[in-house]
Order: sequence, then C-alpha cells, then structure tokens
Amino acid sequence: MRCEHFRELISAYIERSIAPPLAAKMDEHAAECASCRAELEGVRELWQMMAEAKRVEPPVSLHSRIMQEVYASVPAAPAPRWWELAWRPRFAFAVAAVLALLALVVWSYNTQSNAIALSVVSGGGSPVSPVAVSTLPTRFEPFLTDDGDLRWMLKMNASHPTSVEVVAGAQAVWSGSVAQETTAVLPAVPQGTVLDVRVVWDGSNVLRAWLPAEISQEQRKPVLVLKQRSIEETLAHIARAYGVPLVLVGETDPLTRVNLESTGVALDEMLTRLAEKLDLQISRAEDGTTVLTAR
Amino acid sequence: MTPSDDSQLIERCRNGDREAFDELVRRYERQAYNLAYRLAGNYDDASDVVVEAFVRAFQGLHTFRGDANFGTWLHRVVVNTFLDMRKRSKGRQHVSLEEQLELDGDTLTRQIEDTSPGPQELVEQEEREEVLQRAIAQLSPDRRILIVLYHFENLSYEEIAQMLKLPVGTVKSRLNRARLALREILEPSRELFGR
Repeated sequence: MRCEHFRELISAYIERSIAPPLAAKMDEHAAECASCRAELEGVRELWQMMAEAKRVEPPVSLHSRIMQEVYASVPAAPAPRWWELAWRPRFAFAVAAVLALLALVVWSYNTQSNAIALSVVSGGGSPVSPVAVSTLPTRFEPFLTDDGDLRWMLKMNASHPTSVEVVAGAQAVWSGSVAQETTAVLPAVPQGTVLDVRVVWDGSNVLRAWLPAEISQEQRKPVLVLKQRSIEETLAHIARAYGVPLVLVGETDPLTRVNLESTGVALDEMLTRLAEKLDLQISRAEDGTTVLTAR
Repeated sequence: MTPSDDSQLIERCRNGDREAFDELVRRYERQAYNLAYRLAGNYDDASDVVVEAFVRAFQGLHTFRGDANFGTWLHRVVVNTFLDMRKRSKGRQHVSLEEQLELDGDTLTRQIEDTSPGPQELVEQEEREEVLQRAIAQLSPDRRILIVLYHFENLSYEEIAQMLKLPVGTVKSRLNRARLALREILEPSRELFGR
C-alpha cells in the first residue's frame, strides 16, 4: 500500500468505517512505515483533543449588544452600515479620501514615535457631531472589602430627585432615587470580570464605565492591536489592558471605527492621543478615575 | 429545546414581537458564540460575528421555513457571516501608506490579540486548548469550517453536506485532508500534547 493511499484512509480507519480487508492492509503498512504510523497516531490524538475541548462562555455583555444592534436595525429602511456605504460608488471616493488623509496623518505621526498608530474612520461621510451633554455628575470609588472582594461605590449628585438605574450587562444591579450626594455600593465582582455599568437616566444612557476587576498598582504598558472597534469597545479594551477604570460620559458616534496599534506606552500618553483623535475631554475624578467626556 | 417550542417563538418574532426574539437569542447565543469563536479564532471577532449574525437572522426570519430546525439555519447564518466579514476585512481598500503600519499576516495579529490581558497563569490544559485554537485559525477558511462543524458543533457528514451543498463523499475526503493539515500544523507543539 502506498503512503498516499494510507493517508487518504486515515479518517475512515479511525472511525472504523473501513472494510476489514482494507484495514488489515493498513495495519501491515503501519507496521512497516514509521511516518504513516506517526501520522495515524497524530490524527487520532487530535481527534480526541477536539472531542474534549471545552465550550467557551460568551461575554456577559454579548446579549445586550446583540439586542441593541437588532433594535437598531428595525426601521423599515435601515440605516446602512458604514462599510456598506463605503462600497457604494458615490461614497467610495469620499471614504477613500478620508482614509488617505488619516493614513497620511498617522504615517507622518508614526515617523516621530513608533509607539502608537491610531486611525479613526467616521462613517457615512458625516463628521462626529458634537454632543449636547446633560449628565448626572458621578464619581466611582473602588475599594476592597476585608474578604478581598472588589466593590465599587458610586456617588451621584442630582439637582432634583431623579430615578436612576445602574445596569451591568443585562442585569440591573442598583436602582433608586438620586438626590444630593447619593451613594450606591455595587455588588462584588468575581475575579476576571469586567463590569459594564450604565446609568440610565430619563430613559437615556448618559454614562458608561469600564471597571476592571482588579486595580493594578504597577505601571502597565501593554501591546495593543485593535481593528475596526467602536469607541466604546476601544475604551473597554484599554481599561482591561491597563487595569484602570475608565468612565465615558455622553453619547459618541456609533459609526466611528478605530484602528489602534500600540507597542506599549504609558496610560497617560495613550489617553491623551485617544482623546485628541476621538474629540473627548479628559478629566480626573477625586478617586483617580479617568473620565472622558464626549464633546 | 424542541423545534415546536421554537416555532411558536419564531411566529411571534415574525409579527415583530421583540421579547420573543430576545428569548430566541437567549436560547441560541451560546451555541452561536462557540461556533463563531472556533471559526474566528479570537473572542472579540467572535462577538462581532455573532452580533451581525443575529441581526441577519432577525431580518431574514421571513425566509425561514417554520418546520425547519432553527439551530441548523442559524449555523449557516453564522458561517456565512463569518465568511462575509472575513472577506470585507481583507478586501478593504487601504491606502498603501497605512498598510505599512499593519502587521504582516493575520496570524501574527491574531496571536497578539489572543494574549488575554489577565494576570492568571494558564494551566496546561488551557495552554493546549489555546495552541489547538491557534492551529485551527491557521487553516484555510474552507477547511476550518469543516473541522469546526464536525468536531466542535458535532454535525454529521450528512448534515454538513446538506449545509454546504456538497456530496457526502467530498465532505469526508476534504475533512480527512483538513485533519492531516491540522496535524501538520500542530506537529512542532508535540511536547505539549504528550500522553
């Protein structure tokens, strides 16, 4: 039996769907040919490994993300996604022009410092529009309980009693009435979880925060490679990678996409560049939480 | 979940019942995510694929025959979504200057993205799974789809043949070749898998 023929039959052999005389011929060949024998054993092990592979759990935020996108797609004539627009002849030129301009900017920037390559593409040819921000002033204060659980104290301030709900993923973790200096203690976070906390006020989202499940003491300079992420996803990645809380206030353009490559820079530098490109204002709360406000 | 439970839900969805679709998503998102993860090779792309797939499923519900299996239909939507998104991200016209900034080749990029930013040390089992997943990600999309559908989604040769509109014999021989290719990719990592 030729090795080539043997290899074609390996799967059938393992599944025992092969006729006995043919199987016997394969045994003979395997006894003589070390490489075919190794091939057979290799495929067998691989098969076993895949049979034992564990199912992965989707991220907590996946469900709400799906529903958000589905609801957004509901109107009879759905707004075309930015990549669909890019391929319509009318817009292709405009998008190419924007890309060309940004690429030039990024490239010339890159010759100065190799650390970050950041490009932002806004969808549909419309610029990122300034957002009228009406916010509920908030402050996040992380602390560790005696058991080592990470908790978040959320302090909110409203001029008149306002009904507020704090949602993490698809679950409401706190709701109540906020007046002067109201404090909410959010539930414990299991190690490795990233909380996506939304304060829903008057039915609209005004605040989102990415709170890594541990507060890192040392200065991290992680390598980051992100492609075609929304602004929120980009900030979520950065919060996780650097191990610091980030808070976004206001509405950002959902069509904007960010490409980011960083070979490892300090957090301050990363945030400064990002704020510039995404037109966000950086400020710092008393507890050290970085707050980014969409203009 | 029996098909009959689903068909009632689907009827309600077709009538624009949002809560019904919410429930439908809850029933199938985990399965869809696993499929997308094995195809895309990393968690972030998997999420993107799943989100887009459900949007398409929602919009295409009117084409879905009530008596068919929703899970199988959704499988196909996820696979097609994966292929489309992959095509889009490869075929996008970047200005050549920008291309210089991008890392060469999907594999390297994916390796960096796959590094989970977590302080936990990986147990040997998890290491093996990571290596396996990365090897799968190196297969061509066609081979990857076959491997994932058979070994991770546990579809039969016949079901795969039906889904991909191929003769069963072709599916079997292509799968065999895909397994051999995968084994070759894994060969250098043999020490990790010593049994």
